[in-house]
Amino acid sequence: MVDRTRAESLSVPRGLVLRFPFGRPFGAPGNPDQQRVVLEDALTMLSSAREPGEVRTMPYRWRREDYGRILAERHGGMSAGI
Amino acid sequence: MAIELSDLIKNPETAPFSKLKYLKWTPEDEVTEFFNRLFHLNVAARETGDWSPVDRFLEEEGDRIAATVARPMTFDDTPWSPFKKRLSESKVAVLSTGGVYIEGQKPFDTDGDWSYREIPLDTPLDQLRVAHTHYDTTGVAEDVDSVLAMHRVQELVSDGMVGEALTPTYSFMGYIPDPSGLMEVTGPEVAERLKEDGVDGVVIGTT
Repeated sequence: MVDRTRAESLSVPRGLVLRFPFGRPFGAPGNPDQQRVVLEDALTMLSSAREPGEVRTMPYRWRREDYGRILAERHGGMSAGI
Repeated sequence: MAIELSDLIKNPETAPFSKLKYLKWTPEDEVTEFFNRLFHLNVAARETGDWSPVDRFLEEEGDRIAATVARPMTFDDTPWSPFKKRLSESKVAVLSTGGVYIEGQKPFDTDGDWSYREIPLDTPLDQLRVAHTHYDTTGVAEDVDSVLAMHRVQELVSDGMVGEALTPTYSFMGYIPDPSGLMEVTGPEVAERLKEDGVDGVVIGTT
């Protein structure tokens, strides 16, 4: 979601807020690394959210992150593997 | 992915300034004030070379205007199901409200539609379509995964991070001025199908 207020008032079980432009919830077109980072964050939140209605705002700066590096760091230096 | 250009033209409020599209429903004096402040910040930023106050202003005003004009629905309680399985042993579904459908299916009615479409994850890209006039669909037209991460979730399955991905998945069109049909019919129907299919967790890409 792009709007924390909305995520909270809608009482979604778990909400992941990204400061991305409208209409690109998983990331920019043509940026699979960014889309994957976001999808992983959302899936991880399934188990890591501790209470109903937890809304997590992610710090990503739209196109100004190196999402490939984030994935590599997350997965122990493997470029795309887990 | 093909989009109907005429649909885009129908929606002049689709703007790169995202939530600022709600300005059109804002009283004229507030719009004037908005542009005055933006103009002053712009002048100051040109002097200093620091554009972050302009960025911040646009973000904050977008939030403020959206909260004022487009009030979201509110609910008293929050549904909750604990997720206890390992992701690598789970079946997950990735859904979207982005109006994606497949050629041959009935397009969503962009004036309001609470129905859904089934989207097999292996649908060839050239058969995907989008019908939605309340967000900027040029992104999804270029890459469906920006709103429906159907290929990304398959990669996670291939890599072993996720056990299984639901296919076909479900696609909605999020412009639903009267959501009663969604809340009473199609929402519960899809939830029941997800349970019947043994889905452990759902990610919805909202537009």
